[in-house]
Amino acid sequence: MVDTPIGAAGPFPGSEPDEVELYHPHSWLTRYVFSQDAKIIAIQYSGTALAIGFVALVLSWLIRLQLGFPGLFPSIGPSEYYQIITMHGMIMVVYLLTAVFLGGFGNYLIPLMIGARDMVFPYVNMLSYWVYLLAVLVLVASFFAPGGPTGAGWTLYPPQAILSGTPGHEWGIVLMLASLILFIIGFTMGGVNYVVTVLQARAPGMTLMRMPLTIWGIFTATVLALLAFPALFVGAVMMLLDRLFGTSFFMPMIIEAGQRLHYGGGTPILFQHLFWFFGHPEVYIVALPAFGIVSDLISTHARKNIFGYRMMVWAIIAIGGLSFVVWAHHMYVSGMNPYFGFFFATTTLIIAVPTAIKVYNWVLTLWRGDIHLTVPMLFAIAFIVTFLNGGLTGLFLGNVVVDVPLSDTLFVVAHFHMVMGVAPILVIFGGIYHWYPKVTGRMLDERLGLLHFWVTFLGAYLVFFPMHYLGLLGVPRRYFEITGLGFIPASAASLNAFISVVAFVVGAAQVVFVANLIRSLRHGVPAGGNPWHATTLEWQTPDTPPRHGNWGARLPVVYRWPYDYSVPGAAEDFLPQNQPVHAAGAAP
Amino acid sequence: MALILVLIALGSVAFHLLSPWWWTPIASNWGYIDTTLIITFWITGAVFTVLVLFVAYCVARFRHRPGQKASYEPESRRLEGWLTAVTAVGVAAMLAPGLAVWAQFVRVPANAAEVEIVAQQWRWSYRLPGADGRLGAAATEFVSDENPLGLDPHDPASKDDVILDGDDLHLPLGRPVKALLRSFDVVHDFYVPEFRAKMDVIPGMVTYFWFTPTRSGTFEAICNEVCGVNHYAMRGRVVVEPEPQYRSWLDQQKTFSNFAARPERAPRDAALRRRVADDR
Amino acid sequence: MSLVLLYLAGLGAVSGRWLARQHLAAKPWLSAGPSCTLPADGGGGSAAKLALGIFLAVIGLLFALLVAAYGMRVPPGSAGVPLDPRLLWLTTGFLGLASLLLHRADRVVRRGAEDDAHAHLLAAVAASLVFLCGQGLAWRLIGEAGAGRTIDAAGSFFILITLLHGLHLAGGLAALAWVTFGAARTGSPAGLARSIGLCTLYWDALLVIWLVAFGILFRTPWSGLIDVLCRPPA
Repeated sequence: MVDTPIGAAGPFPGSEPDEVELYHPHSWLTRYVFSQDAKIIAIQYSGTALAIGFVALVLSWLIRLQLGFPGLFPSIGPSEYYQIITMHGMIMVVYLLTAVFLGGFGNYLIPLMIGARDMVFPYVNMLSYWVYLLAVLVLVASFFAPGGPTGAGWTLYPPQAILSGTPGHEWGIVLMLASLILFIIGFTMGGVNYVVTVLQARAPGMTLMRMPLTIWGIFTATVLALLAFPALFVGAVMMLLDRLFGTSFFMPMIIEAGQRLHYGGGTPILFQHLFWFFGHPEVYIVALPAFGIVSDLISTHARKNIFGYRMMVWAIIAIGGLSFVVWAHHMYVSGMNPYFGFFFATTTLIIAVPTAIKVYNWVLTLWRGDIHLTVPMLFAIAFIVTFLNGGLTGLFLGNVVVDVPLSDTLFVVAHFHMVMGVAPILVIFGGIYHWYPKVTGRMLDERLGLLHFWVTFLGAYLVFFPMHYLGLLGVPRRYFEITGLGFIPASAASLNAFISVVAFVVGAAQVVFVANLIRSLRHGVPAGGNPWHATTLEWQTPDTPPRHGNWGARLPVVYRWPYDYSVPGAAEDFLPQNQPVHAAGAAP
Repeated sequence: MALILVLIALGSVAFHLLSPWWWTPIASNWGYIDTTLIITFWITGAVFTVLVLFVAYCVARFRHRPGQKASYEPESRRLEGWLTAVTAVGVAAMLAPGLAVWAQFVRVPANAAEVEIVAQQWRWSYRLPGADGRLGAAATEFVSDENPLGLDPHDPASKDDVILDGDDLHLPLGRPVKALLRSFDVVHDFYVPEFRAKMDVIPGMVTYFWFTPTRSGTFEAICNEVCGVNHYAMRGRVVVEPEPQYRSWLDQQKTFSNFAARPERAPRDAALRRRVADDR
Repeated sequence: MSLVLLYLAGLGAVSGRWLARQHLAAKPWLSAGPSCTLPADGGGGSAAKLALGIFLAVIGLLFALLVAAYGMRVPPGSAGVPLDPRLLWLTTGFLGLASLLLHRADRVVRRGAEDDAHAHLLAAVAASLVFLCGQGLAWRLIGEAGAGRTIDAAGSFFILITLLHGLHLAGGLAALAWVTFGAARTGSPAGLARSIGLCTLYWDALLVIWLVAFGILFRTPWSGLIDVLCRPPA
C-alpha cells in the first residue's frame, strides 16, 4: 500500500491497474458454462449450493418425520436415520452455507463492491467452482454407493466413522472424506483469490476503512477459512489412510463384535482436536459474512449510517482472531485434560463481548432511523432476533459446567440451528431479496416475499425455541427414537410432533421462494440501477445487470465511506461512494 | 412487525415460565450446575427481552413516514464504552460461578470410591472394587469370552473385582463416586440426566468424572455420543440405595476369579450379535 | 498444538503489523474526498507474489498441523521411523541444491543472462526430480518393512508427510517445468524473472517444510527445538 496524496479537487486519472487483463469469452460455452466472470461463477456457486441445500432440506423433513411420528414410516430405520442426519448436517454446514456466502456472495459482491473489474485470477476462480462442483457430485454419489452414505454424524468421529457398526462404512465414508478434500482444494483456490482481490484490486480511493462491512465480513471469513480448512484436510487424509491402508492414526486397539481389529495405539481425541480446530472457525466463516451483509441491509433500509462503523470492523477482526483459540469448547466432556476447560471457557465467553457489541450496534442503527420495512429489512431484523437468541444460548454451552448436562442434547441442536442455521439462512434470503434486482434487473415479487418471510421466520422460531427445553429435559440428540426412557414425559412426543408439523410448513414456504426466483426473472418489476437508493459501488454500475468488466470504460473513484445516508444538508438521503465531494452540496 | 416482535419476546418468556418441559429432579451433588444454569437463564433472558422489545419499539416508532429523515450519528464512544462494560460484567457474572463449579468438577475428592464403567457397542458393563478396595489393572488386549472386561489376569488386585456384565449398576447413597470410563470400540458417553454430570468414553484411554448420589432410586443411563447404528438403544440402569442394601447386594455379586471359572458361559458369537443388533 | 498456535501467532503478527498501517482508527465519515491511500501500483507480479505468499502460509499451517498431530500421537520414547536416515540426508541435500540453483537463476536472470538462467533452471528441475525419486525409494523401503502400520505410527507419519510434501513439490515442479520450457519460447525477460522469483520462494518454502518434517521424523541437530514446540504439555 502506498500513500498517494492526490490534489484535493482534481479527479483521479482514469487509472487502470495493468494487471487486469480481462479474459474475453468467445463462445456461449466460455461465457456461461466455463465462465471466468466472477458474476457468472457466483451464480453457478449459488445455484449448485441451493440445489444441494434443497436436498438437505428434504432430508430434514425425513428427520422430522421420524422424530415427530416415529414408526409411521417404516422405510426410515436406524441406519437410514443416521445417514440422513449426517448428510443433512454436512451439506448444510459446508456445501450450502460456506459455499453460498463465500462462493456466491463473495464472488458476486467482492469485485462490484470494491470497484474491481473482476477477481484478480479469473481462471483460478473458474477452477475453484468446478472443483467445488466435483466435490458436490462425489458427495451425491455416496447416496448411490453400496451401503449408502456415511451415518457417522457430521462430526465423523473416529473410530466409529470407519467401523462396521456405522452405516456407510463401506463406501460412504470414503466418498465423504474424498469430497471434503476436494471441497477444501477448490475453496483454497477461491479463497486465495478473494483475499488477493480485496487487497490488490480495490478502486482508487477505496481504503480499507471505506469498505462496506459486507466486504469486511467476507474478507475476514475467507482468511479464517483458509486457515481453518487445513485442519479438516489433515484429519480427512489421516482418516482416509486409516480406512484404506490400515494405518492407526486415530485407531486404538479395538475389539469390535468380539473380533480384535488390526489397529492399535491411535488417539481418537486427536481427530476431535483437528475437527474442531476447523469446526469452530467454521461457525464464524458462516457468521461473519452474515454479520457484514446484515449491517449493510440494516443501514440501507433504515436510511441511516451503520452505528459505530469502526467498532464493527474491530469486532469482526477480534472475533476472527479469537475464533482460533476456542475450539475445545466443543470438547468439554470429551475426556481431554479437564484443566483445558478453564482456558477455553474464558476465551469463549470473551468472544461474547465483541459479538454483543455488534448486536447493540445493529439495534442502535435502527434507533432514530427511517425504517423501510422492505423484505430484505424484515429478514435483517429477523436475523437480529434469531441470532440474539442463538448467541445467548451459546453462553450456556460455552460456560464449561453448564455445558456438561446440556452437551449432545437437543439444547445443542436447537442452539446451533438457531445461531448458524436459521440466522445465516435468513441473511442469505435477505441478501438475495436485496441483490436480486442487481443480478437480474428485476425485483422479486414483494407479496410472495412477505409470505415467504413470515412463514420462514415465525416457523423457524417455533421449531427451534421449544426444542431447547427438550434438551434441558435431557433428550439426547442423534436418537432414532426416544421411546422407553422414563425421564422423558409423554408430552415431549407431542411437542416433537408439533415441531415436525411446523418444520414441514417452513419447508413448503421455500417452494414459494424458489417459485418467486423463477417467476420474477421474467415477470418481475424492472428495477433500474439502484432501486434501494443505496450508496455502495455495486449499485452505481453503468449497466444493470453489470456487464463483463463491470464498469464500462473507466473504473469508479471512491470519495467517501459507504454509509453516507441522511447526511445533514444533502439533497438526497444517500450519497453514493463515487460521488465527488463538490457535487454533493455539503460535506458532512 | 413491531407487534410480532413484542409477541416473540413475551411469548418466549411465557413459554419459559409455563413450559412443562424442565430438567429432571436432581439426584446428585451437582446442584451447583443447576444454580449456574439459572443465573445464566436470568441474565440472558433479561438481555433477550430488553433487546427484542427495544427493536420492536424502534420499528414502531421510526418506521418510514413521508418526509421523515433519519438522524445522522456515526458513533458514540461513550455509549459503546458503557455497553461494552455492562456486557463484560454480565459475562463475568456467568463465567465466575461457572469456573468455580468447574474447579470442583475436576477435583475428585480423596474419599471417592472408584467404579469402572465399560462401554462397547451397544451395551454397558461395570466393575466394582472387591474386598481390597481397589480396581485391578485392565486393558483391551486381555478381552476374551471368559474375560469380557479385559482385566489383567496377572494382577492380584483384579482377582476380587466384582464384574457386572449385563446387570444394573448399584451405588451407595451419599458416598462420592469416581467413575472411570473405558471403551473397547468407539467413543461413547455415559449420561444419567438426574446426575447432571457426564463424560465421553474414549477407546484407548481412561476418562473419569465424579459425583455423589443424593437420592435413592433407579435411574436410566443413556449413551450420549453417537456410537453407531444402535446408539439410541444403548441404555443402562443405575440403582442408588442406602448403604446396608448396597452391601447385601454387593455380597451376592460374582468376582472376577469365579467369573472366569464359570465354564458354561456361552461363547459370544460375533456374527449373531451383529444380526441381533441389526434387527432392532 | 502449541506449534500451531505459535504459527498462527506469527501470521497474526504479520497481518497485525499490516493492519496497523491501514488507518483502522480513522473516522471515515469525516474524511470524504479523494485524498486518501491508493491501492498499490498494481503490478501483476505483486498480486501473484501475494497470492503465492498466502498459499504458502496455508500450506505451512497444514504441515504445522501434521507436526502437531505427530506430537500428540507418537509417544515421546518412540524409536522413530525405521529407516536409515543417510538416504534422507542425501535427498535433503538435493532439495537444498535445487533451492540454491533457483536462487542463482534468479540472480542471473536479473543480470539479463537468460541462457545461464535456463541452465540453472534445468539443473533445479533435475535436482528436484532426484529428491522426489529418493523420497519414493524411502517410501518403498518403509512400505516393505511394514512400518506404515506400526503401533507408534512414526512410519505412518513418514508416509503421510512425505506423500503430501511430494504432491506439493510435484505441483511446484509442474510450474517450474512450464517456466523452464514454456517460457523459453514465449515469455518476456521480465515475465521470466518474475516467474523465477515465485519459484524460488516456493522452493524455499518446500525446503523449510521438509527440514521441519525431517527434524521431527528423525534425530537431527534441530529435532530438540521442534520437540519442545510440538509436544503437548503433559
